[in-house]
Amino acid sequence: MTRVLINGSTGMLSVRAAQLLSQQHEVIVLGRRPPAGPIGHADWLVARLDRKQMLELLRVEQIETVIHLDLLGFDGPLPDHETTVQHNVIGTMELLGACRAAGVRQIIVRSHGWIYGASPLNPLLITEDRPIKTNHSRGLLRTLGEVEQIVADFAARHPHITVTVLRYAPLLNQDGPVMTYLRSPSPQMLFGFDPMIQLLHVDDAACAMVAAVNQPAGGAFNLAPEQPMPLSQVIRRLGKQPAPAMGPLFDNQPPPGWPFEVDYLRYRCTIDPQRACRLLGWTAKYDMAAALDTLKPLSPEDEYAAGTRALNEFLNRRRRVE
Amino acid sequence: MNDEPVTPPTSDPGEPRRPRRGRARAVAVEMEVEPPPTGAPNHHAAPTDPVEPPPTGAPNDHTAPADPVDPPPVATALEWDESPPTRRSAEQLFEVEIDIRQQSEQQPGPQAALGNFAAGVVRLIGENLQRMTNEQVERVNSMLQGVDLRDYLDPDFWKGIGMVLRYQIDEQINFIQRRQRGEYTTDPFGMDREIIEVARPFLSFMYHTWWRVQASGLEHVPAEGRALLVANHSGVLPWDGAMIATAVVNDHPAQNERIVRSLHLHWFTTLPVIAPTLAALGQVPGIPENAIRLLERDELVCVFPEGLKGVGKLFKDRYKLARFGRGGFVQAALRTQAPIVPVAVVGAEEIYPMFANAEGIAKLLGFPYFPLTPFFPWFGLLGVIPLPTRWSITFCPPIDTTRYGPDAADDPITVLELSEQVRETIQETINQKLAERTSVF
Repeated sequence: MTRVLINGSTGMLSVRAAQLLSQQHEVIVLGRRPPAGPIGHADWLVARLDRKQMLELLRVEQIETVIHLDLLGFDGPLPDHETTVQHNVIGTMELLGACRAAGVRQIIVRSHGWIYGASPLNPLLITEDRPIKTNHSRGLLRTLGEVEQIVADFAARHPHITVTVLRYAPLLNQDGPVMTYLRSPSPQMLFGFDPMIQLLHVDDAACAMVAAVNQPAGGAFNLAPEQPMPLSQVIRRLGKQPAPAMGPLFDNQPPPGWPFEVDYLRYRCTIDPQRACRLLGWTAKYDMAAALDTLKPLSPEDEYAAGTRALNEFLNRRRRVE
Repeated sequence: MNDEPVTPPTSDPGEPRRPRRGRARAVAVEMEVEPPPTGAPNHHAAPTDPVEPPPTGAPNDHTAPADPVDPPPVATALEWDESPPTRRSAEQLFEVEIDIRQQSEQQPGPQAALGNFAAGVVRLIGENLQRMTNEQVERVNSMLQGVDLRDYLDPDFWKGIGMVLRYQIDEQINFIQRRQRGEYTTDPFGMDREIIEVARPFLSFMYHTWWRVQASGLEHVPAEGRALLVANHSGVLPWDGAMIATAVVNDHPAQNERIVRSLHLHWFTTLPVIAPTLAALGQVPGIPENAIRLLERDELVCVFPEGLKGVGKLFKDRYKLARFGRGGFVQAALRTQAPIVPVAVVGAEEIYPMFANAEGIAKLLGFPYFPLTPFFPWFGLLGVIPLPTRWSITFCPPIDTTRYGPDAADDPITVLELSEQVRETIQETINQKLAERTSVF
């Protein structure tokens, strides 16, 4: 039983992680909005805390593990750059400082699998020892490179604190940037290119978080399904047809609706989850096809079957509680 | 290290070529016998002269097709009737096709035309069968159950054929719709076997007909397990990799259609259209990590250590091997303990005789080189058609890397020595093949 604080309540990852972790641990979810779904036995606090208040919370609750999910851009639209820097970079620094002062033993920070940058020189599957790209020019990755550097520096100076960075492949999360792109009626791809991409189901992402709490191994972990898929195939499996965009070939500007650098539509940035498999015992339960199928609208028969299954599970759980 | 000539015994030019099986023979037949499919069904037109040339396998002693003696048609058909096979593979259908053609030669005009048409249809079905899954082949077989495929005058024959054709067309439509729905699989590197199957007839055509490639020493390529093919690079566009892959698919004694994963210049990854096509065909950007990863998956990997210096070579420098990089390919082979098979390609140097490299234009376009050949860029896209030279591809005996151990990859001396050994082997084999060659075409 560990006392865990999940910092950040927006997004399904926070909800699913709280739900799973609260089965074995004492969990508090901190955020500016109430959680978006049921969080099991976890408790929650709706507030925006400053440095001192955060330190007080960590001390009084004797938090051992802090999970840092409160980064703008993962679970919603990205505000202007200044706000993002203030929130992501400065917010992370403040949190790390509070953790150090409060004697937190483990810090888990969420990051992105595309932090390595898309490049024709990328190996087919990137391992964690490849240096990350710090000069991203667009979107959520622009501040994330800095956040990762700050976290890495902190980890190097404080060897007694286990610092884990979870580099997730883009999540199939309703509000994530890649999902927003995929939800458009015909997502634009770059003419003549079809990069392989990985998409991770939120449940798998939450399971990795539980594994990271239970087996405190430091360092970065790539988390992705092992088998990537061409982007065009992803779009087709969602029942749409990709639209080719020619413009980016000339001006190098991403097509509308694509929240990252245009290179991610051109080259692959696929990551190798072997380290997580070895040290955390984690593998993605949903392969890409299965994960994408969960987004499809169900046929009436499937809906009925899923309804029966969910009802039985719910009733069983209620019976156990009583 | 042995300095003796490493040419395999099978590379004797006088030796008759090993008979090719299956797909290969089918292509040969197709080239020579091609009935006009549109004119054929009109069998009331009664062509008086035999328009079709004799089929390849037909012995000429089947004489007297000239006088229509009006043979009882069904009786002659029965003469070809063996017990109908229950499971008809594409190869069997091609045999049936040849039989029908031979048989129809002895028939009077209209029946000969019908026979020709029947043969064409059987061949079409056979070619479609090659692209089908076992399950689909089973379906076709069940449709043809009890139908004697050689008796094309029987209405049942046409009924069966009609059913199969309709099924095959349905399957083609299904195939396209399925692709549109994204229901296909690729490997982690983006290789798509369905696309390879689509591209294969074209590559086979280039292999057998355009360049008349003579492959020897294929027994040195392991039928399974990892191996690193190392070849000389030439010819401006990387056709040599495609032909090495086609040689292994078509002519390898094991006939298990192993797919050669070539490592290409990572510059190709930056080119629209070309990048996803290469990936779908199983080619992989040439980065050491990729080579090791593929070898660890027990794949057959092909590298061209000359890289740019080889493929963008000037015509006057042909068949002089450039420097073999920094021996990175040897490191990959040592680390994964994969045998190295040197491969010598002769003929690819002349497909685009590049007499100059327009470096200014290349720099402007961001290309590593811009070739000037007698045909390119003067004739535009026509200049991209390669010259039909005659090729030979020689696979040399493998070099065992297990006696060095994986740690030897970190020893520059061993790495460079092995690299030099491979280079010399290829150069010697090329020289030998060049001496044997009588004509470029």
